[in-house]
Amino acid sequence: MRNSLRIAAFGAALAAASLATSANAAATATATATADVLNSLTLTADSALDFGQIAANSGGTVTVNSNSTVSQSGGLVVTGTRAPAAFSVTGSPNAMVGITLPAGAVTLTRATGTETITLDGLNTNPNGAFQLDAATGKGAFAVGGTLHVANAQMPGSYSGTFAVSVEYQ
Amino acid sequence: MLGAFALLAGSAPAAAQGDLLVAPTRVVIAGGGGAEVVLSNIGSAPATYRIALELRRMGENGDFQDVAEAAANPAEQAALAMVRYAPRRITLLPGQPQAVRISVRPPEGLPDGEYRVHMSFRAIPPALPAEAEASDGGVSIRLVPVYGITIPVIVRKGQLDAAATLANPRIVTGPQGAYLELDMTRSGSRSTYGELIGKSARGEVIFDLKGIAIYPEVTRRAARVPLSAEQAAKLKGPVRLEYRELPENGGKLIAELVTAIK
Repeated sequence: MRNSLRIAAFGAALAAASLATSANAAATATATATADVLNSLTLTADSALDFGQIAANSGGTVTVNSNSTVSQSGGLVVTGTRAPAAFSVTGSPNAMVGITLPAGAVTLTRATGTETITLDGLNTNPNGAFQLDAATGKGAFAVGGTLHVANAQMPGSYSGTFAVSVEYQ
Repeated sequence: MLGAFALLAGSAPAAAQGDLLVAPTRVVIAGGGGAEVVLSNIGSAPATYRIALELRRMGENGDFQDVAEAAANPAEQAALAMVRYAPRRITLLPGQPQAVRISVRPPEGLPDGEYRVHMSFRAIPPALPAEAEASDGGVSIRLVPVYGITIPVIVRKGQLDAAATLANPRIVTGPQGAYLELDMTRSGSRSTYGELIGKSARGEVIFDLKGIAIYPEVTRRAARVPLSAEQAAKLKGPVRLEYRELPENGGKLIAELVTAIK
């Protein structure tokens, strides 16, 4: 009995997985069909965290907040689009989803060197957990932060990664 | 520094490489045994995913804090040691699912209790293309989110019990609208998990918040229920608040509170 239940649950999970993948465009219908079971969760990245174009004679900070407010300090001149990273979540309608970000700063390292730029003050909008839509099971959140450019920052290409994860609360 | 330099930051949009679906989203294993979780690539390009075990602790607001392995307590270390899984790395074509097998072997003499890890499924970012920019003496920035889904893997050993209470419901209005705030307490040796239902005195369901856990590391947490204006209006006056196991787990009542909200 237990065993067959487990197999049934696994079958349902597989069905949900393949349904959602084959019919991603029609994910609404899929989500509704599995409304009462917290049996799947999807996460997609919609856009990157963009700090725009920055020209500077000296160091400073560029902040792009998750609520899309922006600011800068020091001798930095910023042009172009600045936007927080955007993510979409699809799961069970009415479910609460929590977001986990790194607790500390993120380090970006120059491609052919050891110089670094740090990103800290990571924040999300909505702040903390949020509820998926009652009808569609969809939700979205944004991630922003503050980039610290040092005085006489070594020119080059700086890259880094930051971890973002979601979980049913 | 002489002259100005330019920072070109993250101008390329994040490709939908690594988008993923995970099912089921919660695994409970009593004693020892196994389970399977399906990972599916819902992006438009092939992607490689890494599966790992992470530690989380719930805070009193219900959010999760990441816990470094070096900071793990004995129960968390035991959980990491007894949960085995395979594979640890999967490359999937768009639309392709694959199962990850989980098996649990509690060691001899493990004290009774609830042990938990969070299994993470994260896309490994694709290799960055060769840098063409920055040749003009500027600085370019590339920030790649390593994004994924975590699910709790819960191991229970022995006869465990838990009880919960609900208290102090209040309607709070914040910048993003109104919500019902509620204190939940938990006692006993395991977590509780279920849905939070608000009903009017006549039994009409006003809200139903799914998937609310109180993990063993906290004895109390707040729950926040986002409310529409209509829901907020209906909640004023006598209400019945219920914390129930999910219907597929039997729907048993864990805690209830009959009160009036001002």
